Amino acid sequence: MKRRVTQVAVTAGALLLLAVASRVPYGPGAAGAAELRLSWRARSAQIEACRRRTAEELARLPVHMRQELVCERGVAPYRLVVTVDDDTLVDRTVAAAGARRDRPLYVFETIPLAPGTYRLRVVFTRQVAVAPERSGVEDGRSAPAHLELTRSVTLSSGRAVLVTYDENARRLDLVITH
Amino acid sequence: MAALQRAIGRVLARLDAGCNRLYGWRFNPLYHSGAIAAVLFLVLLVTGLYLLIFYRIGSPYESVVRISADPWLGRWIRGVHRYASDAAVVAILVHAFRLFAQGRSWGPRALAWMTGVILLFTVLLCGWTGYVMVWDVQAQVIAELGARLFDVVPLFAEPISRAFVGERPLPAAFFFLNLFLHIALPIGLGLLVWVHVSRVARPALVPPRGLLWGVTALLTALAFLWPAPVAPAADLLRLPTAAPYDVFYAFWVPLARAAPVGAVWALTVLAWSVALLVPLWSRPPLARRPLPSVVDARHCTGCEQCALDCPYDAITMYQRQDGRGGLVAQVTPALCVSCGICTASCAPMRVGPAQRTGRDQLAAVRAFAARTRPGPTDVVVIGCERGAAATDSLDGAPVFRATCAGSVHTSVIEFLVRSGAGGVLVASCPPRDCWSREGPKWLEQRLFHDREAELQARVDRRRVRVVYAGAGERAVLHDALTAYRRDVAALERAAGEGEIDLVSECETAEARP
Repeated sequence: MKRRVTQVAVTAGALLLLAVASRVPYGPGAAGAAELRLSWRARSAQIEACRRRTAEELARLPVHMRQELVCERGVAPYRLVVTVDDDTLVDRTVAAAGARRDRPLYVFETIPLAPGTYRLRVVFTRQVAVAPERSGVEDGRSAPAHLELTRSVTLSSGRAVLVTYDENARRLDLVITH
Repeated sequence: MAALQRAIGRVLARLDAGCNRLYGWRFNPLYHSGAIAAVLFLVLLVTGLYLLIFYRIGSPYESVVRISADPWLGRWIRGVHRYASDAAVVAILVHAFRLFAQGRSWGPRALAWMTGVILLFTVLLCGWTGYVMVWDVQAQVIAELGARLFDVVPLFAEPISRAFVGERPLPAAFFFLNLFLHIALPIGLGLLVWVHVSRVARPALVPPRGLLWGVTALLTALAFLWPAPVAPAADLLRLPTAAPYDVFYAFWVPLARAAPVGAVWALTVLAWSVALLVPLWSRPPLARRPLPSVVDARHCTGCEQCALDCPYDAITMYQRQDGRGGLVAQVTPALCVSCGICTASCAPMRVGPAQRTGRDQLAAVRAFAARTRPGPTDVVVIGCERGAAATDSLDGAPVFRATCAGSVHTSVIEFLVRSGAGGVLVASCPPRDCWSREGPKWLEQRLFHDREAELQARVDRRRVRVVYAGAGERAVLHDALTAYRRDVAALERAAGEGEIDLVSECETAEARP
């Protein structure tokens, strides 16, 4: 009888453990926290840097490779600066994605902030590399050379505010839900 | 390494002993952890098919809420599905720790170990896709963290994390892909299980019926009494709030949130590499590795018994090439784990690992008998060195040690009885705990059911007894020895066969567990 009781107790205990471990309460810090997110995809202007090879350079090359004009194509990088209440939280160059750096620019940043009202300024400016000979060709779909969003933003506890780029309106937008 | 194996082994031995006391060795769930995992896989398939009918990729969370709101089948089946997936992780881990502690993870068993590790990873992957299907807070966190981890891998042109920032609702294609993975992965699991057991002659994929139905019934009862929870719906523009998390699948979430992505990747790759490479670092030094069996082809009778008994299909029968006709056995060393089961299955004693053949055993037992000189009231113990009798003497009874009780040739037992021992107590590991898989099964059949290389009829079966006692069950062995000594003494007290009531003797023997 004692064995039977122990058997039932141990089995029930193991099941209880299984059920409890299956639903452990966990709050990954949502309370008293908020988040500023920046996420967009933008096409940048294509740039082409061309130069003429010198006679010495040409002489070093095989005959069939002696092309005088050499051009390197790419996509112009942008500089992203995020300022919150005069504090610069992000200041970096956004280069085009892809192994050949010819894909669109992707911005993805998450900035944890305490709930409250902030003065937010996001600046996204094209940086064109300096080259002795350069020719740039913009297609109509590329983002403007300068994008800026300056707003007063109220972040609620547990909420995220999103800054994104509207490709049709060609401007930075703020997405807030309450 | 050996110290870690011993430490885990000691814990397991205690747990085994406790479970044996409670459930008996036949229904000890720890012994059947691998088979239980296979059964849970089937339970998941059946319950998953039902859930699939009502799941909607267009409104994942709402469909799960609807399923859970159905008080008759939906809530119950979802609960069984959830708890079975949790129990499967536990069963796989118990199975893995058991084999690791027993040193059954290297050599010919390396394939089973490595596929087992991949199986565990696939089960976890399957579980993650399953949780994402629900699209509640936990799903959101798993998906966001998973995406963050994959963003550092230079595979995707666009950061996957952007899909979860809340810019736009998640497309149905995401849930379709997730559902596809959740269904496709179990197919891969089936194939992996097949490879996992491919080197075993008779894989045990189903536990005893009582345990099978018991586990299913218990999960069913748990799902009925405490249904699986539904957390708040995912909201990509809301930071994840407190919610019930499943430790078995979301154990990595706190670490992944706190640590840098690179550190999480490094730790993940390190942990899985260490697990995958266990066969390399758990194998003993070359000098201490047991040698595979060899066949004395000249004297092999071609009876095929060793090939039939080998638990690892390491012995194949070939046509003789020496002009004598008939078959001859040949061992594939790469498949042989040196368990020695074939030693006991060969009546002419012509097969077995070097220095552990039947002839070697006979020579050893002769020396043993000469040294211990067992008398007519003495009980000699033949003990598996992995079980409770891993000692030289037990309560005054001399112990003849073997690498596996199933590798002890019946001639050894006969020799001990004929040399004057009152009784021979063979202490074996419980059948489902045998390190050689099938030692106790073949031992019992050779002793009491005339399996080839059987104990000769001239040996009084009252002089031989088998007891199952695992490494942590010295008390069980002690009790069995005491009881057998009493029986042997009773046998000796009887003046002759006429004084023994054969009917009551048989009844007593049959009533024995």
